[in-house]
Amino acid sequence: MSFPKFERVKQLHPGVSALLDRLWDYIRAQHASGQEYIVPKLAAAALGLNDGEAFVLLDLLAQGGVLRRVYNVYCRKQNALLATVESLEALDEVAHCDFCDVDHDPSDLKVEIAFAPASSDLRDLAA
Amino acid sequence: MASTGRGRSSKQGNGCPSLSEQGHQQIIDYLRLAEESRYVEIREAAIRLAEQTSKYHHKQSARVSPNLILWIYLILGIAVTAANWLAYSHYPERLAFEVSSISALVYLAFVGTTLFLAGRLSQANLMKILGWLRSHFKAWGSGRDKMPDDQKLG
Repeated sequence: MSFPKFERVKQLHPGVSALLDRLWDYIRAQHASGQEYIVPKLAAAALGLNDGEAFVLLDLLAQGGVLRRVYNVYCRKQNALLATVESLEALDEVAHCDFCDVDHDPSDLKVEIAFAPASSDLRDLAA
Repeated sequence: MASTGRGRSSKQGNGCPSLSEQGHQQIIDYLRLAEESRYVEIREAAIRLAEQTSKYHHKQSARVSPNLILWIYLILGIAVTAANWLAYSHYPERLAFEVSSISALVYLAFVGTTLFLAGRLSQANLMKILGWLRSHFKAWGSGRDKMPDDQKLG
């Protein structure tokens, strides 16, 4: 099953279309196994790329409307996901942790860049 | 998801970077790695992304809005033009020319200083602008001494 937005990204970047195909298979497999977010570090390890290469490829898909870039905020103490925001500025609004019931300092929190499907179409592909 | 934020800024005065700065740094770290890629398209995309990210970060971290600065430049520019027009319509041509050139140079010095403080102008270029202003004042001062009394300003 083809996904027009993904095909468009491949057309725009023919030099990395083989890599995008591999990444696409990885994304679909992750969604099929119930993973909500694609983390560049994990994608890089799975595809044998460096972290930066995986990030750029995922971002190309985000620019093409296939994925969207998100920022996951974790409590370091509990190692629990506190919030997911879609912009850098929104990160500074995240402070309260319901696990610890305190307003954490930024040093007690961890930010992780991830990518999520931009629309429900992609989720359907994984199904 | 356990919780969401409650509108409190996480920016701290203890030297610990805010979450937005941590996020920005992560992007920069990824892009640095991507610039070492053996794939040309990834390297090019990384450079493009780095430029966009840097511009966006500058805009977000600016203490004064760039739009406000542009408005100030525009209003001062109009004020300088109006002052020049007034000078030419009320004073002898030679004096009006001096007043106009000084006001234009003061305007340039202001623009140069703000651009320098924003990191958009090198110190050498700022000194060049200030040098024009200084040499013009010197020339004006010495010319004024030689001017007939009825053409002196004030």
